[in-house]
Amino acid sequence: MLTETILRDGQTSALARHAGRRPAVGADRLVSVLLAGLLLGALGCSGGEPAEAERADAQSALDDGVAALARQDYAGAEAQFTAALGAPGLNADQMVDVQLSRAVARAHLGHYEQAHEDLNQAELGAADLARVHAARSYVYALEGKTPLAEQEWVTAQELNPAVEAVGQ
Amino acid sequence: MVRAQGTVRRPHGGFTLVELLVVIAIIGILIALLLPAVQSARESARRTSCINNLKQMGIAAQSFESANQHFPPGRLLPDWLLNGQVRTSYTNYDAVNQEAPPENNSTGFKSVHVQILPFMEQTAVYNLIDFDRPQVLRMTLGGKPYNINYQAYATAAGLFVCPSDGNCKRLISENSYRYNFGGSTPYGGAESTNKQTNVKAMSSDGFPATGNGAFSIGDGLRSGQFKDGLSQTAFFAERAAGSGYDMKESPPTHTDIVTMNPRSDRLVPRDEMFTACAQQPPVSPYNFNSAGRWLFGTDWSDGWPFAAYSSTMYNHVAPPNWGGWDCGNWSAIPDTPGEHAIVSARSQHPGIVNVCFGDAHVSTIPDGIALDVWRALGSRNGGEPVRDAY
Repeated sequence: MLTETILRDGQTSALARHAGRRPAVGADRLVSVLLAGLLLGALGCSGGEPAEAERADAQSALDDGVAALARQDYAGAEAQFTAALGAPGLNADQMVDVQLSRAVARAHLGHYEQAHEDLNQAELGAADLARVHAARSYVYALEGKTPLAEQEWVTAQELNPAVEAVGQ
Repeated sequence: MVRAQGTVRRPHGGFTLVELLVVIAIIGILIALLLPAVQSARESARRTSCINNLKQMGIAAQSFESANQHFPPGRLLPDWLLNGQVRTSYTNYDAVNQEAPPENNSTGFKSVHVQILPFMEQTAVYNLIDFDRPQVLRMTLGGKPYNINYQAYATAAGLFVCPSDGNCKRLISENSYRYNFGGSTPYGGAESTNKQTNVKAMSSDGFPATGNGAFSIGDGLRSGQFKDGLSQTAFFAERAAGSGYDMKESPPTHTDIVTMNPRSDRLVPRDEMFTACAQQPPVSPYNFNSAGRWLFGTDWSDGWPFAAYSSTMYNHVAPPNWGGWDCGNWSAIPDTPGEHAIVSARSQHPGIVNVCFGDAHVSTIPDGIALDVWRALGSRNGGEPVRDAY
């Protein structure tokens, strides 16, 4: 109603008509700034957590990577795992799983140095170190470093006699 | 109408911008004065609702004891029976198969929350849960329900949510309340990640791996085992859910869980762990942002159905809402019996947490409570005199 009162009769500015002076441009600007501030504040309050879609993307990439690894599409698996690691939303256990899986995929692609980088990263957060050593054993085996592979496998079994082989 | 002579009639009925701004300013000032009072009243209502939820859990634990002559176990043994073999090393919860033959496959991470459902007038939900099958943390697969107990967890979605817990998004299985497992110790039930069945181990500072809280591993505790008295032993407390922030870029908040620095896969002495966890942790993708939650867009829940420090357990090693960081000795997701953690009571009520004791009375505990008193309230058999009544 107030707006209607001000803008009635098609006048350009109720303020100019009523007060008999030029429109108060500074006041208009003040209102604009206030509105902009409110808008920015509202946008700011909505930030923080990764969006649901981003999390779903990470989860989807992880699942696709696992499927690609299972069908021995190592390049596809590496790409999917890289996408999963790049998106927010994976929990700490999943991060470790993805890094171990990417290490296996990279080792199959002959990218041994990158595979070991993944394993070293995974080791920082893995709750189950036996799996990390098992994965490292597999990477060494692909690399042709059999004594190191055996050594890692022994370490894995010392930690967990029932450890399952990774990557086979 | 006859107007008084000399009165200036406004040629037009509109308001000036200045008048409008003044009115808006006055309204703004009035709102600013009123808003804190309204918010305070709303928070007070939420706190009361929260206290009521805790009390219901306390009464349910009492009813459970009346029916079974013992309180619910904090978690069961073994943690994972796989193809007839008791797993003594790390339980890979992601690898648990809910379709495995139940006669030689089982899991032990059933929370107290699940066990007291029938005593919270949630028998229908309890009956929906298939206790013969191994439990899995995966809730969905490909956007569709996967967990065989999904319907049960969905039916009881808001049961354990405090209305003040802003990190809960009303997604199923979310949890704002935890049970006192460790007491005044940080231990999860067994020696280490590779000795998940050794529940007789003792720490070098003389505490059992099974802890001294209100709930323990294996058989449920009996009333007589609460030497300090049920009214002096905390059973349940608030623990706000994790932040859900992207840990690859954001530092952890105080509701998140981090890994102790340095990591150590053993029964770390309590005060060594307390000191280590007080330090500011670095930004790390391995920090854990979904304690007590099931995040939107993911498939895995860390909510109330599951017995773990990452989901439903807490202890009294650190004071409520402490300035340090809740942490696991070996990982930021301390979920197996061999993983130990400081998970403190935390709430989003300003300055307090609500705690339910063994006799089902609920006390509002200030953040500034003396640490020795807080630890005494956490242990069931410490023999410590508590100076003040809580």
